[in-house]
Amino acid sequence: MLTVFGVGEAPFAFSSIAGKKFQSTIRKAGTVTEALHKLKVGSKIGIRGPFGKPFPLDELKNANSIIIVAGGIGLPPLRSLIQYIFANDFPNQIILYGARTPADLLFKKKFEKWKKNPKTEMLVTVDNGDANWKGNVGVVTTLFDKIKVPENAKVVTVGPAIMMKFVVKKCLELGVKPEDIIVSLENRMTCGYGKCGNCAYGKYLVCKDGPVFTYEQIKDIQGIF
Amino acid sequence: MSSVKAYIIKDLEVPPDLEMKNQYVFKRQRILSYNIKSLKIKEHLDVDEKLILIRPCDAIALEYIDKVMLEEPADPQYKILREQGIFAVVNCLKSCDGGFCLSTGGSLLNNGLGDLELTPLKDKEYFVEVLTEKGHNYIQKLGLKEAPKGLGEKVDKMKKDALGNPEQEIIVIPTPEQIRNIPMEEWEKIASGCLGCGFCNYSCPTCTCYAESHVKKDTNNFSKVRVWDACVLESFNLMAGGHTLMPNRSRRFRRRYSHKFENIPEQYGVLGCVGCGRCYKLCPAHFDIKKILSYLAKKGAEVKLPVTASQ
Ligand SMILES: Cc1cc2nc3c(=O)[nH]c(=O)nc-3n(C[C@H](O)[C@H](O)[C@H](O)COP(=O)(O)OP(=O)(O)OC[C@H]3O[C@@H](n4cnc5c(N)ncnc54)[C@H](O)[C@@H]3O)c2cc1C
Ligand code: SF4
Ligand code: SF4
Ligand code: FES
Repeated sequence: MLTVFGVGEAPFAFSSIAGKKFQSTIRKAGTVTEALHKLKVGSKIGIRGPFGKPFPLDELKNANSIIIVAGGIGLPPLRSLIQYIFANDFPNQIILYGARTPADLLFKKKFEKWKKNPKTEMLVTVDNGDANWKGNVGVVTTLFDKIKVPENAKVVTVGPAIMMKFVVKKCLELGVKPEDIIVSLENRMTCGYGKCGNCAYGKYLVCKDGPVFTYEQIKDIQGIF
Repeated sequence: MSSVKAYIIKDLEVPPDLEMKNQYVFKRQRILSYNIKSLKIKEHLDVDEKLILIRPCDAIALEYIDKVMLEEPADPQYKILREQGIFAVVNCLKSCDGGFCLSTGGSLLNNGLGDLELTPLKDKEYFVEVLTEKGHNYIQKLGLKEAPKGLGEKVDKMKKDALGNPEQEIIVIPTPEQIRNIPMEEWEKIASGCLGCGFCNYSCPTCTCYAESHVKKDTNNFSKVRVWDACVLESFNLMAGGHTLMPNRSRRFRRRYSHKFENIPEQYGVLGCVGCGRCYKLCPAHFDIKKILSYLAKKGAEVKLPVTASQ
């Protein structure tokens, strides 16, 4: 949770491995995020956390292979995972990334480096191309038709609710088990540690029990899926 | 610790329904203050010792609130208030309007909870029994008059009479399974006419959700303040860009019931409702929780759908 003094507080993910330093990638969406965008280098902000459950790193490390599916602003939190995977001995990964337009693609400069990793396959798509765009066009789920989904793969997906819904659907069709699909949910958050109730989703509090869940955990909640 | 000595306390009034919870889960509370120039932050953890008058149903609700707010990491403000506050539970000698505490496993009388137990004698005057050391010390400080000999027996008889003739209708509380069995169309029907105003949440002794904002005092000084929030409000989990996981009123209405009668029982082993009936008394649209619960129990037992949890 980041505080802009005199404005307010909002929840964000790490977009890098967090040590003494960390990065967050912030989309301008309202009051606090706008104030964050206006800050000058050297400004002081408040920070509380980290809260909640992280990606299941040990399970991912022992998986057969990993498919990372990012939609739009969902890539930053996955970038911290990708950095971790590269820095440690992880199984092969396929990275699928979709954004609305080429201009919305984040971390473009990193793609070449990621693709060079011998254990990594990466595909990128946009919903709507532009004059200079030569890559894939279509929603992120169309990328599944361009890869061979390894058996017993674990899928990690972060993005807008509607995108994750379709990714989950696609994965289930492809035979991925609900417990092998890992999603990160977004909900309103105020306290970050299980008190304010704002992040309730079914029986869970997303700040404390999540934001990372397996699809198995949340599939029965009549909510976004 | 039940005490042999009893006391008389005068000039006390049990707060009205909407002020009850405000004694310990505040409508508006400053969490911290800061100066944006110096970045000096002051946490507000100063709470004066004070007497808090609650009912037996509120005492049961507090046990649940403790589970949530004191679970590590505990809520600092609440924790201090629980330590500093003297909780006096005022027995009900007859059932209140709309209350159904017997159906939720409660009683008109206190069941050993709180620091003091009060039984009404006459207007604003109570018989005081001491339950804890903290209660004892507080009574000593007040220098209260000891109750006359023989009054204890009289009070015992009043309590026995209250238990013997509670004049309260018993209703069936739906099980978590029954709540889960209710299809969304049914909730739409039940919730129709709800204003989404939040009074049911505000009056409820087990509702503790809150919202925060950074409030300006002057150019450089701000406070982080929390206020009561309500899960039936559209704003409750509204996110940037108008996204929400609870997009309509019937879903939010259901959320309130499924939290109290499905999620809390399954997670904490207690009901999330203590049968105080306040959400009925204060609802401007006259939604009667007793009728709704009886209906849910009946419907939930009838419809056998594939099991799905509620949001
Ligand atoms: C676990 C988690 C991780 C996130 N990670 C990132 C990230 O890495 N990068 C990024 O750009 N955004 C991220 N978000 C979304 C980000 O928190 C919102 O964009 C931000 O809260 C908007 O605040 P605002 O004051 O600018 O908008 P306003 O609409 O003015 O918000 C007002 C209030 O609503 C709350 N709120 C609004 N939208 C959201 C939301 N989507 N999620 C939670 N609370 C919200 C705020 O906390 C604030 O109290 C994340 C959200 C969650 C829950
Ligand atoms: S008090 Fe009544 S009208 Fe208001 S939100 Fe609750 S049920 Fe709906
Ligand atoms: S749900 Fe209604 S009856 Fe039950 S504890 Fe809350 S206010 Fe009282
Ligand atoms: S953010 Fe407060 S309970 Fe989750």
